[in-house]
Amino acid sequence: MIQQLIEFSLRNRFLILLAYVLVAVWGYWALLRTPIDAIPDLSENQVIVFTDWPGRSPQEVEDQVTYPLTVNLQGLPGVRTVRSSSAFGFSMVNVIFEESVDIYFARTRVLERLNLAASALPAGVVPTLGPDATGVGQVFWYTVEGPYDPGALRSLQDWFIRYQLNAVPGVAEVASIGGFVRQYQIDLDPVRLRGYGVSTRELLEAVERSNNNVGAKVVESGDMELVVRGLGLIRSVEDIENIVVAEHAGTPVYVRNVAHVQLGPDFRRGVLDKGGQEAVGGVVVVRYGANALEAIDAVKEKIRTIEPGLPDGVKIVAFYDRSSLIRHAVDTLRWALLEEVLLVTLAHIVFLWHFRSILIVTLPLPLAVLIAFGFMHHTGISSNIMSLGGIAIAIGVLVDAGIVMTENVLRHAERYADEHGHYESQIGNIVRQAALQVGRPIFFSMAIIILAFVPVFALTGMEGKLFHPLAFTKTFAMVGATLLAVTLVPVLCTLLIRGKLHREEQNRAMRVLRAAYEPLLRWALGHRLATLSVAAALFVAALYTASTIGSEFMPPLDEETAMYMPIADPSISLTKATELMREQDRILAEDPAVAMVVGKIGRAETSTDPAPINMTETILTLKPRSEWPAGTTKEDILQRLDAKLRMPGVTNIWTQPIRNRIDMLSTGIRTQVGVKIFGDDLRVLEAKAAEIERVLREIPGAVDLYAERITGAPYLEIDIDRKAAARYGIHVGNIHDVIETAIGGKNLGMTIEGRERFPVRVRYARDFRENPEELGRVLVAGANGVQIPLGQLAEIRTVMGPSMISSESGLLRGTVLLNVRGRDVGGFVEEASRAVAERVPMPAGYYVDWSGQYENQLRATRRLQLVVPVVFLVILVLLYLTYHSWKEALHVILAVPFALTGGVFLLKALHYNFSVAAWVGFIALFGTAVQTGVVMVIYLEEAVKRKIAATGPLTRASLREAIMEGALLRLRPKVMTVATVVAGLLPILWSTRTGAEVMKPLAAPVLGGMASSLLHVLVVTPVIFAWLRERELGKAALAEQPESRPGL
Amino acid sequence: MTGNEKRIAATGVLAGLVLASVLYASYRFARGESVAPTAASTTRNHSPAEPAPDDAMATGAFVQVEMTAEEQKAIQLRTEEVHRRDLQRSVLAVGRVEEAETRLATISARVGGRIDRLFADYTGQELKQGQAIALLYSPEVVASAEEYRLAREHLEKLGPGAAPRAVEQARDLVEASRRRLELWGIREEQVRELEQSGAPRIHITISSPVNGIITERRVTQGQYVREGDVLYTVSDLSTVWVKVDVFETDLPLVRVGQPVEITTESMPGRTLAGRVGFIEPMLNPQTRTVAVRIEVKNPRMSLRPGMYVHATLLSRAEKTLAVPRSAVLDTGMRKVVYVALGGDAFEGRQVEVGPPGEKYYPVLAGLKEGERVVTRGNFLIDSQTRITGGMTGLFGGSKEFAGEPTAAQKNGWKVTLQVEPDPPLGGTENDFLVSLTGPDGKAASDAQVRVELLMPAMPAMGMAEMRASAELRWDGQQYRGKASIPMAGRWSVTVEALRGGKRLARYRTQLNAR
Repeated sequence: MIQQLIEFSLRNRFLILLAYVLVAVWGYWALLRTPIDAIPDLSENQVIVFTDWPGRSPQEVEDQVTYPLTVNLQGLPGVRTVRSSSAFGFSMVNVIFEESVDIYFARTRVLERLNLAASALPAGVVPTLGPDATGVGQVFWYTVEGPYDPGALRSLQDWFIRYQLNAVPGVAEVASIGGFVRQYQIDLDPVRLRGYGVSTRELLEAVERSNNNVGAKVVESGDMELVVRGLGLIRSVEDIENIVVAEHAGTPVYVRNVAHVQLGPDFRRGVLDKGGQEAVGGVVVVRYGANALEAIDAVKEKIRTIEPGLPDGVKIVAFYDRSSLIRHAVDTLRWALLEEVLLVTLAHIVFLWHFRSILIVTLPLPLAVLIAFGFMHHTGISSNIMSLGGIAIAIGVLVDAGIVMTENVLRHAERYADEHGHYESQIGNIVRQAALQVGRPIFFSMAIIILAFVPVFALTGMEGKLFHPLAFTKTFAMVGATLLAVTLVPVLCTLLIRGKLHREEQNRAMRVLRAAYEPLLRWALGHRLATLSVAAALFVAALYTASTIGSEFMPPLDEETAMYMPIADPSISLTKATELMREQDRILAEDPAVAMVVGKIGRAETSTDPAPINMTETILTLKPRSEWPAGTTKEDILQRLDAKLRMPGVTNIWTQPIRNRIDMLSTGIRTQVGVKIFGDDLRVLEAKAAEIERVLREIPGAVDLYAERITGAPYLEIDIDRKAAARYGIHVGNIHDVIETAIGGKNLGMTIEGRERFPVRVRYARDFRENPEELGRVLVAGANGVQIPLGQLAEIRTVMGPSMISSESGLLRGTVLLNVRGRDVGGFVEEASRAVAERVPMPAGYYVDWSGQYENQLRATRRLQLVVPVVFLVILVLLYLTYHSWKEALHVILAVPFALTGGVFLLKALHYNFSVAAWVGFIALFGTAVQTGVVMVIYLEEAVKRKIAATGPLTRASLREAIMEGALLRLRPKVMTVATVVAGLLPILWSTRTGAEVMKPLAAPVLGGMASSLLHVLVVTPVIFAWLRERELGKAALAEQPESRPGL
Repeated sequence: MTGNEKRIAATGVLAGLVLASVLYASYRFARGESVAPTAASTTRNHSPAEPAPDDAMATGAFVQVEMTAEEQKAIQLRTEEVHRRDLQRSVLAVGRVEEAETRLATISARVGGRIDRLFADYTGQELKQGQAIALLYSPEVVASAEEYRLAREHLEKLGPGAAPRAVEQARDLVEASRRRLELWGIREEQVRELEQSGAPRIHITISSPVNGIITERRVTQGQYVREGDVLYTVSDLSTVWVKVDVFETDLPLVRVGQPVEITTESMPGRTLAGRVGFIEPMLNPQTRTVAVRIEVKNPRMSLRPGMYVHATLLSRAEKTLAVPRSAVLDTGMRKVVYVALGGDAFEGRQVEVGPPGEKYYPVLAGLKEGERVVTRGNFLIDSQTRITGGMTGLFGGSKEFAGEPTAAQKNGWKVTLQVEPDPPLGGTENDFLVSLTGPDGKAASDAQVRVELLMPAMPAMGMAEMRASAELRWDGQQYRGKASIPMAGRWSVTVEALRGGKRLARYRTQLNAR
């Protein structure tokens, strides 16, 4: 089939060229259209149902909102699990779908179910679907600055800027944060209410009914029609003050008689601060799957468009702009790709010294990349560090096929020229012969490389999301390269190989290499045992070295922007948190390395941001690297800042914006093992968690044990004494109304002022509700107008309660988290779950579930246990098909451990940890290592065959001679393939640009492995080959070699 | 002794000892000393099992915290001395202005007749004592006046030669009729007028007997009134009563004679002074309040009956030990203050406080005069103790917070920590090397050195707290041990050197594992 393809290509050269021109156009078109982002979106395939219920405690939210929603949302098609959390004032239900479910399909299903679920919720509580975006989509943050008060800036943001930016394509949501939402505040004076004999309820009704415009159809006047409007919307504080509440002895009682009305700030759960000053800002969230870069650029363009329309002096200033990171990251890889192409070309120049033939190798390279882009576009993979990285690490291998092909054609041409004095006229035939000879092995070795990478697809969870794009693009590029090698490359050979040819022997670089290689190989063949022992010793040393290398999940991407995330106690007040943040920001802003500091406490008003108020996220923009004192690293600066910011009671966390969002989004358990206890009483859950923690502590291997504390936030509970209430003839509902309105405040609707809308809120004046003692004096109206202080109707007490309630599948969840060290996790879980089942009895309605990262690991291990042997087997079969000999196939596989040796050493030398990236690097290495082995063995076989043909049956000496010949003669393609792989990876390794740090641990094993496998292939493989053949010689009569080696 | 007896005896001795120590402890409590005086407080640091009173009413120290000057500055820590203060606890109440019951007057008709003229003809009119308010035409009075005139004429007619008995009779008659007029309220000058004019005036002037304001007018001009009919109610508003309802809980703060400040909506910024005049003996079972009467001088008539006023009943200032409200943290189960022990040490102490005043809590137990309490930054210190333990059991965690190596350096001990490899690696074992120099500058080799690593939990992110620790052994030059760092990231490290259960030094720092 491959032969036919080659022959077809050679026969229809024009057609092939035309086809590839079209392919190039297609690839370029796709390249322009592929969405660009920094890293793949690692969030789970989830739909967030977000419900605001202002002012309610986590417990109320859990019982009345989260629970009914959760139970309704289970059982949708494709739902993997429903996790939820109830916090102060809002409920967040994460419906996690299987990865295969389309997000818009999922959203529709959830929406369907919400219709039903909404009826089970308290009146006025409306669940909403989060935007079709994730927290990772928060790509652009800005502040609105100007000489106005925060309230005015906030309404500008809320009612003007926000909606304008939201209209930009690709933007899912623009959320506001900071400043104050303006609000009409009616602060009731209970004393005056009592004096005028007006009840709170009357006032509420009066205000509610005094804020509307009505229509009354039309009136005809003459021949005209006049539209009738009844005006009555609240437009100012005076309008509210003049609302009549009741009539008291003939005089109207106005709102102003019983309350103080003002325009004030709404209650808030988020604060923004810039360098120690109150600020107003917004977050632009891009749509799932949208082109982040394009969206950001469009947003910036839109800002330029609307800026002239802002009030005098108001500016929109970005303080987090991911586009620069994306640009830099993509630039890094573009540069790497460019440098790789240059280096690869350089390698060819050095080794081939035939400039036209270089085109044969370098032309398919961009084509393969463009083909990969074409596939990317159609499979919906975005351009990011990982997917581009996939192409980058493939570059070296991409040209391999071309090199082997070209080299072979050149060799054939040389031989032909030697024999006939010329070759150009016969080039078509020469190419055909040469191409047919290596076509099959090329195809098989490329197939091996592609296949060897298959285990990466078996990665699940976050690793999977991170590396699947890389695996896909690498595979796409490889498939492209393979196709090119058997179609375009031969065609190009016929067109471009002409002129004077340079023999390998004439090449200076080759001469030097051969001079070094020959004695080495001779010595090795003479001292086989020593050679093999050295190789084995190196391997053992590598195994030992591997045990000293640390491990981590992923080397963090340097996002250029630092994020300082101090976490305080959950009971901290917003005032104190703000005060702390001001101080922290002031300290940060003073530092000479810091250009801009913008801190955020709590949530921006988007469901993609669940941060509680004890969590501050401060985005630090550092000055450009060029302004730092020489030798300073970002790490040094952060370390210095951390030392300055050490405050008691505050845990400093340094992270980066994207990483932080990913961390916040993963709601699952992130230790190796998590024991989830399900039940319906938080206290029981907490007690059981503590019991389980005690039991687990005794089981060997358990470390980092931690039973999640459920309580920790202070509650002021107003426990109504029903008997007391009954004695005064007061309904519990009335008391609740008072608690809600008097203490908490109640919104009575919105004013409509042009585009802007502000809530109207009623609440007791501050003096009457400010502290717990005062709350006891809040009056509740009973039957016949008696006013009873709340303290006599209820017990008011401070207790510790949950700051956030987590539940899963409709039951409350307590967790014990732990890691396992020193033994295998599966065995540990088995033993531990038995112990827990025996020693911690669960009450009815409670059960324990074991989960955690180990599940992923187990699943991945199980998959890998299946996939890796299958891949090995397939590679073996492919090798067998190449050699028709199992022995040879196994022999080639031996390249793998030796490749590993170099990879481990380089990893250690560069101080990289074992991470998923490094593992993927190793996987990539195996395929390449096998491939180089294949090439070597083919040439050795060929040499032996030629020897037999030339001198008859082999002797020990002639065999060695043949091996020397084969190894030496074909040094060029081997060195070239290795050199191109190395050249293709070096730019990544020496790059200090953004994003390179993620690719480096991936490139390092390949690079080190290629170096050691070069040695292995050049030295150890001939030795083993010689040893195997000599055994054959010893066993069989040295008469004949009946086998013929097809395919060569 | 049999074995059993021995056991009983031993138990007895043990019980005695326990009892004695409990008694001693309570004695010291009663004297207001903290169980852990400053000097002994270092011992508390490494006996975590000892304190942590679970009893909500207990007072005393439960944790000690050290903080560097930089840390104190970073959280803008402020302290304030505890002293005795005039704690004025005032009761705020809403009152209604009422007329003083003691100053009400009623003007009634002493004789029946017709009101011919009304000078005070509207409610609310102010009356002065003696001011004419109405002219009454009373036929009865007219008749009596006529009678009086006739009696006088008769008397005059009698002349000097009249029989003394007749004169006597006529004089009696004059006197009697005059008396009758007077009893009806016809004043002397009117009588005199009558005497002089001869012709009887038919109207009687009714005048006000008191100063005051007409609160009720029951007559109109031309109305016939009968004897005894109420014409006006007059109220003297120069002193008014303010009735306030005081809730049961505030009652202990109210006394008769207590000064009261009155403010009204009508005169913002002005206060009137009053005094508690009477506390009603009955509690209104409907409202659970007791009415208290406040007497207020009202010379300018600014308080008008029916008005709502705010009354602040000022209690007598008491000198009590007081602590600023901001210094007290209420965890719901206990009230906690942080006491500066001098230097960098602070002590968390549970206190008992009374009902709060405007700015201060009266201290009932747990603090002494002259101690300094933290008034700003105490929340953070408290949460720090929660992050790393301190409040054992209450918030979870088991290790208290220590500051920078201040404690160590103070006693002359110096700790240096070195980690191999540097930077340490996450997910694998690392070597920890500690050298410990004593006050004499020599390396100490007989200490127990322990390294603890902690990565605090991040509940918001579903990350558990992670810990690791290692006991280091003396290797001839320094202490050395292996600890595995569970994962890459920022770890807080505490090195602690103990000798014989006593802490020599402690060093806290951060490591960044790769």
